[in-house]
Amino acid sequence: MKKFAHPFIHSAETRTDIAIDFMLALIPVLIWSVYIFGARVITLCLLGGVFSIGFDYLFQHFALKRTKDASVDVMSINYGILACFSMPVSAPLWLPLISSALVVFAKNLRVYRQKRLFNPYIFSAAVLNIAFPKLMTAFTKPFAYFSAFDISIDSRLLNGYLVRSPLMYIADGSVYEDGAVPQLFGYASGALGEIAILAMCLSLCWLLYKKQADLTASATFVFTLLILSLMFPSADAESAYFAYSIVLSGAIGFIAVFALNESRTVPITSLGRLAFALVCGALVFASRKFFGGYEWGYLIILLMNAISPFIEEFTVQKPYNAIKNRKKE
Amino acid sequence: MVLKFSGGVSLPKQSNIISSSFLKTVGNCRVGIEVKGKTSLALRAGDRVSRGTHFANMNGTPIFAPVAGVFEGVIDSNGKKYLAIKNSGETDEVRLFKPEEKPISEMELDYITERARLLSVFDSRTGNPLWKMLTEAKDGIHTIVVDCTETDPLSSTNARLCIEKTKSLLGGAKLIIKALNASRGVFVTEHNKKESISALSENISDTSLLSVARLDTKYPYTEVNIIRALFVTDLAIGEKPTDKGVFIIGAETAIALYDAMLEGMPQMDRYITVCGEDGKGFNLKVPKGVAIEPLIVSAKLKNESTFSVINSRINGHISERFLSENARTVISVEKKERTVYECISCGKCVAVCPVGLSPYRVIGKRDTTLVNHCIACGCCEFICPSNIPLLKMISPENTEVQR
Repeated sequence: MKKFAHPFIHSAETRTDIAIDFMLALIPVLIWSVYIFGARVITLCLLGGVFSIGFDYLFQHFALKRTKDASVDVMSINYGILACFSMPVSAPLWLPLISSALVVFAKNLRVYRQKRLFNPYIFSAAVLNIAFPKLMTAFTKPFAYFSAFDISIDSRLLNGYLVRSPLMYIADGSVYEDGAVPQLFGYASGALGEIAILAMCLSLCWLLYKKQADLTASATFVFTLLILSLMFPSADAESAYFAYSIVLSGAIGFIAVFALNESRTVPITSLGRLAFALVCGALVFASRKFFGGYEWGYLIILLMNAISPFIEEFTVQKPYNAIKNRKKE
Repeated sequence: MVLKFSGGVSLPKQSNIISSSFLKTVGNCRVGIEVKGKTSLALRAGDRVSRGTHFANMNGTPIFAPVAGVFEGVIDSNGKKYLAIKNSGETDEVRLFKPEEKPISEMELDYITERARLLSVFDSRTGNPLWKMLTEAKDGIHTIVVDCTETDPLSSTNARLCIEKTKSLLGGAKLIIKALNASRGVFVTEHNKKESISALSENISDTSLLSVARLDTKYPYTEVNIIRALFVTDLAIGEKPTDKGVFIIGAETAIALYDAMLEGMPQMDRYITVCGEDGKGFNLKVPKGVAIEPLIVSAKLKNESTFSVINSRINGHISERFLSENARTVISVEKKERTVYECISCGKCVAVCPVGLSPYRVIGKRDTTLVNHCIACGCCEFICPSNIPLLKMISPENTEVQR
């Protein structure tokens, strides 16, 4: 007689449901980005998503010799779109192709207990920023809509719309001069998915509602940055201006909402996530204060991703029923 | 106030049959009482028995025939031994004891314990003889917990007993409080069982002695969860609720003790829910040790792709041939195949573990902490979105035992 062991029921939530929850979380950011930068955002993200799932399928099918579950990881689409979120709207249409390849490479890179070594889209952003610094920092004025189908934007046209990002102001020892509101609404220049802080807050709310995110990590990261910025201000501005400029500029919101809730590259334990976010916040602050201009946040996240299995090892909770044994020891 | 506790899972489907009374099944189902430990037979195979005939002794507990028919001796089924009776469908009954006349206030521990032994009362949670549980838990018990929770949201046995047998339930709880010289009794139930809660609350006259605790609706209700919810403390490995001064019994146990003493009849019937995964089924009053398959077939819940699970879809087990002493629910479950994917480190297994383990750590590496501390509740495997057989990986021998 064939026997089955308990449980005999299974939760209805599958990993595809989780991937769809994340996909829905991208929608507010995507919509706002299209409003700010035009239809080219859709083209870039579509290419990113399609190439990512395509490359992932091919990689799993041929490199990893998986046949059963090779085509079902919807999360690849999310990673592809998230990788595009760190590009400017002026990025050439071949860039999502490279970012997708990088995403798939990082997605399948394992080191310890099936943990990924690096967050796939942060890995892509970091590599592209190093490999194509000019393309990745060619930020343009909001509402300057470019063609959705031009492979690359004509440099003469592009030069007329280039602006400095809030992060560049900090690098120059200054702060973004138009204040916090444009940064909250995404009217300051920057990458596609990194500018609209309020849209990202909506995404975070959705993820929290669906229990796919942990507020501890996101809040700890932002508060660490905020407090350190208030404690150690620099630039020719009051500490409060400096603090909000640090928190609202660059990829801070993007990291807080998405990268810190990418479960496969951060510690699973709450305490581990707290430690992870705390160290990330401190390192990002130090990098902005001392080495401004470049989005060091990406590299810091990658560094922390690499050590997250060790953080997890140290923060695994003790079983509740181990109390007596502990007392005896 | 709803008492919360960490761990456990919310199961999707609730019982559709909470409003249906217990139907008494007579039929001609064979019954089998599982042989556990030292057993001596008072009759020979082929002898005729009436309902209530004393036909065996098991570890000092007299065993009575729950149906009239022919004693078939000891039979084997799936590696277990049973004392089987072929049910004749007749209703003749023997009465060996007088109805209780002593008031509860005059009863002592030894008296109640002896009556529980003579009347063959078994605990519906653990399947152990009540008299043995009382003997082992004599000193230092301050609270009696009567577990009125269900084993599965599809079940409504205990909720229904709270409504239909309120007086016996309260009386049984008072008997056990008296027996163990405890200071209070608590009926624990799911907070969404409103009818049961009001039936109990309305009938409790001495609120300093008895109370109702409403627990968060999360399954399974292990003693670990109940203790944590009520007393905000944890049971250490090897520790029993009695070590914390808490004595836990099933609702049916309290009812069985009270009714048996009041009527002078041993416990010969059980109250169970028989249902399918759609929540449709029946609440039944059946003879102890009744054969399970005929119940499922008569409830039209059997087909080629189903099998019967006892008590819970989370931490229950495949049904044996006959109803065991701790079975309260029989669920007909569809066989399902699931594809296993790799871990996505979502941490959901950690969130639902009642003992605070990190079940994902079993993947790719054997973790002795997990093996030693796991209570095999099955929550981690239930919740895993990648369908990883975590429980079987943590403790293959443990799940083997529970099958």
